[in-house]
Amino acid sequence: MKLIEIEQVTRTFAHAPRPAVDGVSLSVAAGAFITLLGPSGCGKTTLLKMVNRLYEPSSGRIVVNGEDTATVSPTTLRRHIGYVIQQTGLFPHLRIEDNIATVPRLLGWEKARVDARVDEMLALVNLPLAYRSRFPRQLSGGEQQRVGVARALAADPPIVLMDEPFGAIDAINRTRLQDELLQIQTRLHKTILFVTHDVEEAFKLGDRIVVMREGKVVQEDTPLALATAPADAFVASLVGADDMLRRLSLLPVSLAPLSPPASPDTLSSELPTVAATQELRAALGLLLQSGAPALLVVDEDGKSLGQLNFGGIRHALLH
Amino acid sequence: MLYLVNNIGRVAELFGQHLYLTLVSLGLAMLIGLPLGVLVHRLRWLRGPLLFLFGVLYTIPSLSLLVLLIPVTGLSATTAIIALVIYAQLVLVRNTLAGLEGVDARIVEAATGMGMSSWQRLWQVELPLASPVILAGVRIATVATIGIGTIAAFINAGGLGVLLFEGVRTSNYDKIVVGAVAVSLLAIAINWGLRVVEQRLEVRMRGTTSGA
Repeated sequence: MKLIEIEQVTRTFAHAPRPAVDGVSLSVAAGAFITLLGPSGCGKTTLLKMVNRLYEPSSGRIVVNGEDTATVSPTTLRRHIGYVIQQTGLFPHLRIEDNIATVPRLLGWEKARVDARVDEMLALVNLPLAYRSRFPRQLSGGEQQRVGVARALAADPPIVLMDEPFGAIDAINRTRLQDELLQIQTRLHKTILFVTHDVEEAFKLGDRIVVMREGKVVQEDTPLALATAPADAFVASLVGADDMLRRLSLLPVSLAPLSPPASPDTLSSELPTVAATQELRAALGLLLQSGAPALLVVDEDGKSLGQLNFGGIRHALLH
Repeated sequence: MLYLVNNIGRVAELFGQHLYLTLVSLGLAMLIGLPLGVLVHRLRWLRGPLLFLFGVLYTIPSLSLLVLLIPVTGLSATTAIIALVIYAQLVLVRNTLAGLEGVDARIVEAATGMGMSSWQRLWQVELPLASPVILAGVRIATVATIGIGTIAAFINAGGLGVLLFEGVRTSNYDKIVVGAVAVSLLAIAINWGLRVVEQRLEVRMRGTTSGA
């Protein structure tokens, strides 16, 4: 079942030369992690903000969970949709616990339930409970954005909207936050719409990527399809289709065909190992560096999934 | 100094009157000015006309305004209070507006996006964050009210201005000094007190203290 149906939505702002969002249709399945990718001004943020009615569509409609959002009161709608923005938007005058408790309190939860939920959320985003009584300004940027995520998830909304949440965070912490978000998603199975202009972020996080340009959806597909079959020159240049190494950096090892797990008589234990979640570029680097004929691909638990060789990498690129 | 020693009771009474005039005027002024500030924050079209009106009223010399009001409300404290309330409006409305406008737009959007109604957003987010600037307006209005309040004596409304007017009429220099010093002390003390509260609020709203 589709949880979000965006139907022919257009949004025009006064004095703008063209619509910010122009006839966009999009279906989002429950549990999907969708990244909206495109240059600034492409309409991705406007589209996102129409889902929780921070902007109203000029025409078209958005159906969430079978209901036309125009018929639901904006506050009710928003309390059931998590929302994370760049640089957190945390309330500076409220302690971390009160920030996280915002939506549960709006929904009228009992105090004990709110309290327990705050603890649970802090644990979920790997922050110590001692942070409950701190103020946002006393936390680092990365920690603040963890609180932002915790706050958005506090009332357990089925849908979470994220508007370049990691855009202002340094590269090392950004990578860490992305990894944590993916871990959270594998546990909670939210339906996430994630706006970014960072191609690598879009490929790393999204099950599907929606590429937008000048208010229109140019291509909507899986990362693999986008990298291997870009719809036009714009998408091709965005994903660096001519640049093999760039494409390899967008594709995980798990997308390449693997030869069967090694039989006991081969010397597979001497092969370098690579995690299935790593990008193919790292795998290629490892192959070149080690001089080994193949890599041993392992899953999260270290269990062997098979072997990856140059042919496999080439196949993932060219298939 | 001799005047003060001999007339301590009278000075205390006038001081009390002055404080009363100030507090009543300011209380009423805030009851009107703060909601108006919130209103013009929400209703952009009302902003220009209302600030223009209060700007014009503010420029009327205080003595003229008092005299203009005499035919309506007579020689009384009521007249003085009306004038003082009118004078405070410009500062109160303008600072309330400035405080609310100064709240980070991203924080307001986050509050809206999380499902706060506009009242909830106002009480839980916008007013607390605007409070240091709003209080600064209250402080400036208070000091101005204390100062302008001396003129209330001219229309029989009492207050420390009585000492000044009487002193000038009778060439009693001691009396003038006592009146002037008393008014100044009142203004300085209230200004200092409110400034302390304001600074605490500023720190609190920035979220940089861990105090209770």
